[in-house]
Amino acid sequence: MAPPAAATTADGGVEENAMAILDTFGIKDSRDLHDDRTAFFEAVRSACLAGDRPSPPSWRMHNAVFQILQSSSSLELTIASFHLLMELGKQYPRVYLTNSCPHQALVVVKESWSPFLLGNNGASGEIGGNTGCTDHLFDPSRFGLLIEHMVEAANDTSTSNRLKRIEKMVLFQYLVSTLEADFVPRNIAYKESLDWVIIRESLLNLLLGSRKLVFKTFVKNCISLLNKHQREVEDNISFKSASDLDSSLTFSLLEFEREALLSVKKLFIMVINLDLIRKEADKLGLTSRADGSRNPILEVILDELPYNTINLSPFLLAFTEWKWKLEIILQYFSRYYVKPAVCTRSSDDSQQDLTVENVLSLFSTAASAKAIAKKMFPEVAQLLLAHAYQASELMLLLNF
Amino acid sequence: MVIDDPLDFEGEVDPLLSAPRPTKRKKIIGLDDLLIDYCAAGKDELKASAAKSKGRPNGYNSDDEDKQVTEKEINFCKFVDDCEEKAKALDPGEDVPLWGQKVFGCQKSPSILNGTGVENCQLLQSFCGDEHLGFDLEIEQGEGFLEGMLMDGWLLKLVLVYGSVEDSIASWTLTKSLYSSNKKLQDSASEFWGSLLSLNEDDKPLVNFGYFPSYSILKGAILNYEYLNGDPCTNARTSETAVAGTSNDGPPQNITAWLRIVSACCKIRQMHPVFSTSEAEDLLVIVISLFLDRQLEGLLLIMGDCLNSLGLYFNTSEWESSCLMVAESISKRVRMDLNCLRIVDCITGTNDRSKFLRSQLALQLLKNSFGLKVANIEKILKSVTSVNVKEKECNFFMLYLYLVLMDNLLFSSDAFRNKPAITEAWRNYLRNCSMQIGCTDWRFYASKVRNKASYLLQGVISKKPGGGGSTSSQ
Repeated sequence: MAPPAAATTADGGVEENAMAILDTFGIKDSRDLHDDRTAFFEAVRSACLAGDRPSPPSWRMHNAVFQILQSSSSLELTIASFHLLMELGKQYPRVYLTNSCPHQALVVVKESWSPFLLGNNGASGEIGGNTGCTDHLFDPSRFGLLIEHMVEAANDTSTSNRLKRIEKMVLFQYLVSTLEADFVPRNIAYKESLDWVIIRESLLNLLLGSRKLVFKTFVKNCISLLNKHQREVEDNISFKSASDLDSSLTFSLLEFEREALLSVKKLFIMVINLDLIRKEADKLGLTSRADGSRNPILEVILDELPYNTINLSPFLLAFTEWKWKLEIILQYFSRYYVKPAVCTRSSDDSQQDLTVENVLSLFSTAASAKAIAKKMFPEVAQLLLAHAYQASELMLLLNF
Repeated sequence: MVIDDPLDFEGEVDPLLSAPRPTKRKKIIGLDDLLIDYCAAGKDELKASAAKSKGRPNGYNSDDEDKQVTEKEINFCKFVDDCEEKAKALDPGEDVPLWGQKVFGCQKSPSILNGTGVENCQLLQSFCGDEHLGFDLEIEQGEGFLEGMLMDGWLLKLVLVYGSVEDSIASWTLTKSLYSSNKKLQDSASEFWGSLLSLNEDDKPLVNFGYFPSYSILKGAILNYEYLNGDPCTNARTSETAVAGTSNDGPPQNITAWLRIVSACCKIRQMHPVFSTSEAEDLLVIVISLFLDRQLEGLLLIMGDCLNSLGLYFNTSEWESSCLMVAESISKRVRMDLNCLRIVDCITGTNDRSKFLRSQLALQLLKNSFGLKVANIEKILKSVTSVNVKEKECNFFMLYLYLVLMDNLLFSSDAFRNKPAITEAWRNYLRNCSMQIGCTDWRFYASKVRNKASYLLQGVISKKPGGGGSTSSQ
């Protein structure tokens, strides 16, 4: 991977020419608008990806593509803009590693475009000077709203707003993949250098650390999204409803739901890793008060699950990352385990000592089993035990 | 009379109610009068219209003039209708159908997949003999039990732990992914195969297995989905009719799994070449034609990935001749309307192979369109540039297609970079198109041709080595 780091952005002529395609002067109908947008994508593609000397798109071009993604005018445009954005992200990564030095070095292209608008991004000034309009970009609160809308849409079974639903899911998928493209190389670089600043400046940390995003609600929404999709998959909804005239949308919807589900899982795993690094940095005394104090995601999940035990089973089925699943289950038990006092965050090492064997032994004596059964529904305990057993068996198997 | 009294009372109210109205009207008239005064006093351009509407302000006062106004309205509406009709007459065939060709026929009900005998596989048998398992497996269910394991992801994990997978299980999962109508089973099975067909850092497979998907299995599957193999003349229908058809007309349910498996097969070429060259060509034609099905719009990324993997599957030495084959075959399937632009657009041209395929496809489409036997660039150029935009019956829609195809043909790959005569002629023609079609030319697609030509012209100027300034004088 050797992206043209120093490549200058598309020169003015190319930009003007491409942007002129979007000029709505003399547009007669929506069909013309659609054609123009398709032509615009083609122009961006040829200038930035397929041309002789491809150069990164300018902010204006990038913004325009991102705005079309959110305009939900047609499935074709939604998918095409998503495709283009993904390809541009791949071709011109904002963050990447170079192998040139003995150590892998992290390169951050600060001036490159990002769909996020995060306070101390350093980039906000540039956008401000450019267009003055940043409504289409995602600040933390808008990211939270997106999840909320997705949950609302998932509960709405009518077929009227399917395009909007697809648009939200595609948008989410794109944003998570942007977070991932930013976080993964940083994670690798961190493991070599143990430099907390690398992670502190990650989009994910900035986004979730912001006060504008209510983290608890956000996690709650993600869980209900996972559950909703999981139930749909279990029900095996057929995509051939007889009265369905636009099967293209229905067909795509299922595919994007699957992808959105994967994105939620991906996001969870990333946040769990972020929390681990944060904990490590806390121990090393690298963090300061300025880093904020967001609760670790596992704690939030554990706060959420006991109050909605109906969500527990689908969540455990949907969350297939066995290592973290086991961790969640063990921590779940430890909350109902009589012995340890309430743990503060700095001393929660004792919590990790609980193993599957410990948990099983809890149920082996009548007294402790009763004590747990008082606090936990037997069905819940059974479910947790079954999943814990599965996960630990698997760990044993894979450790061979 | 008792009843008369309230009537009288109402009668008294009437004038009271109507009294304020005239004053209100006066106010409105006053504004209009002001406007007319203003028009008459200064603005020459507005004089005529002001004069026309002179009768209007008084019209509020009498019924006769109200009628006059409605008559005028009717006349005006008629006039607008006339204009619209005339405008329609100017551009015949205003409705260019959207892209979309029927790629799949009516779906048969999926064949029943029972009796695969997979329950006799060693994996299950070994479980039966194990007494240390500690819990009961419902192995009597046989296939059902395996399905459960597959969907939970346990089958894959077991296989990874074992380090090998027996043929009966491999073929059973492949069949499930290509034919099962259970979405979850299908997804899990294609994930299973995705992992089998992926390589680790040392380009070694994660698991040992001797059973591979083959061309005949994949081709058989796509034919089973009622893929239409013929030329467009016999079985082409627009997407509209396809959508309006029976409920069985939907896209094949397993097409996603099919695409995933094809691309996964391509990626293990180093380890095991699954397809021969001609087989890969055939699959490439199939995958490209899938882009024409509107119902598969949502699978754009998966199809794009598959297209790329297939493109990279070929040896460098094979690619040019294979490309020609594929381009010829596709160009016969695609109709010369927006479909041909769609297909060229879908070949993204992000790598050299894709660029070459794009320009070859444009070449073949143009060749067919002009009825040429040999793909001769000079002849094609001559045919395109002979279209005279000043002629009344010029078909701008076709010209639009030609412009886009020509641009792709000439500039997608560097095949014609070194022929200055051709690019020069092409540039002149583009300039003519952008100059000779007036801004007020409302003929169908005329403005699109003009815009496209001037956009492409900019591109040609920048692509010309050392070009730019010399052309600006014209």
